[in-house]
Amino acid sequence: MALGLLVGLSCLTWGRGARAQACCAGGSALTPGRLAPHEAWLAGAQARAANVFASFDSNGHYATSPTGTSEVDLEQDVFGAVRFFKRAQAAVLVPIVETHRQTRANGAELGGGLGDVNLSARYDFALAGGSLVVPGIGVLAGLTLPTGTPPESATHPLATDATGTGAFQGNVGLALEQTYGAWLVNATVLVAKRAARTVQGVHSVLGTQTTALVAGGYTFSNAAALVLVGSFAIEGNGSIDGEEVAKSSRRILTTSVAGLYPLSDHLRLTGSLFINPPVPMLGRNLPATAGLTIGGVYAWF
Amino acid sequence: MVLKAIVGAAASVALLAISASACAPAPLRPLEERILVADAAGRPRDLRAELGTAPVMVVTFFSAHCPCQAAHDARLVSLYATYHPRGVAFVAIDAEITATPARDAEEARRRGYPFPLWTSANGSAASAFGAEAATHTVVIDREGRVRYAGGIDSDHTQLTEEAQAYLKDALDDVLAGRETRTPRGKVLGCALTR
Repeated sequence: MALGLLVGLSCLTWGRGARAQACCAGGSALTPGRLAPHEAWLAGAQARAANVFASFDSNGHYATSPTGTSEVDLEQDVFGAVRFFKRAQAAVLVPIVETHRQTRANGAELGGGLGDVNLSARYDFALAGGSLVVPGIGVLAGLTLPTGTPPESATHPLATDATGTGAFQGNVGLALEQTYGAWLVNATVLVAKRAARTVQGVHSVLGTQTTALVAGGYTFSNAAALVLVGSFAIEGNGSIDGEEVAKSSRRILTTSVAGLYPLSDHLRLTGSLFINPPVPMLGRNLPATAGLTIGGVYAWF
Repeated sequence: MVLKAIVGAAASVALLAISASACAPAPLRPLEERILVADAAGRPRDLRAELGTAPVMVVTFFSAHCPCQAAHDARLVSLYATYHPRGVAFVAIDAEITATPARDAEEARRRGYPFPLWTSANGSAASAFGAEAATHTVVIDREGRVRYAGGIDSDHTQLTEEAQAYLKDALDDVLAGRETRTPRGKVLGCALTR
């Protein structure tokens, strides 16, 4: 049960905390909530759909989802960002999360609600392209608030109404990026730490999560952009009542292609296709998903 | 309670942003320094010495790869066609570290620039004018005073008829002997690689 609790919490936290501040290729293609250097404010919305097609066990073995079972994860985010002091920006992201889950034993179920709200900030010590030698250097920080419904508070039989972790999560990161003409490369590292929590007398804490992201993008002459992204996230073993839980660590590789198309100087469309490659050992204790995002951003400058 | 905290934090950030944007821009200073650039043939030119050759001079900073630059090429050419007959000289400066006279000559030809595109690969021209991004443009009068500094207009890459025509307005004002109505405009181009 303890391992199950950790798995449940980790699945909910995975990939959500860092998303609002993961950094920056091809303008704002990679991170829709990030302000371009000339922008002062933005507001946007994004929808995400992901299908769970397989899973990785604790030994990194890959297995497709059993016949008769399925899971589709949906999310709609609204977000905003503001620039201050020229090089700094802060953002807030409010997610609405839905899960459709089906098992042979319990049938199908749909649930959802408000997810965990994320606050993030970024300070750019140097901008990409400003120097041939010194790359753009950005420091990232974020805080995810437990505004969603934690697993233990879910009421549906398949817990599809669990939309949050029930724990605060703080993260810090460093982003390096450089432009070479119309090309942009980015490397970002994020480290996330989740607060301990006690549920029904069980004191648990998830392991520290580290995400490394590399991206390469091209900006076209009309300011549209296309970015290829690879990210690898690893998380250490969690602990229950102070004892480390063996084989509870997780990892996952995510590859994606993201794009941006400007409808005007202020309004742009964003979208991405992503997948966790079904390659054994590249995942552990996590489902493999494939999906897409689509959104729109309005920016002021 | 959480919502109140979020609203409070957002309000604080908004106040910070408003106070930062309300800061007055630095005053425009006369151009006093000698600025060496290279012309299309690679010959050295003193940009300061060129100023007396026309009543008004427009210096615009160029980037070969910047979408904002490309979007404004036609507008620059159009402004040149309108104001050059009225005594306004135009020169574009490629102040990126990768700039070469040969590449800039080819860029000027490809883009149909009727004005020269000179090279300042050491960045001295950009430093002299405080240019950090492509399309940063200055209007200099015969006395060497910078009368306008900023973007060509308020458009980024998707041009509109509603754009605030900063450069055009500044040229009209200077040619009419008035103070420029907008001495500073926001620059929307890519960072100049130095």
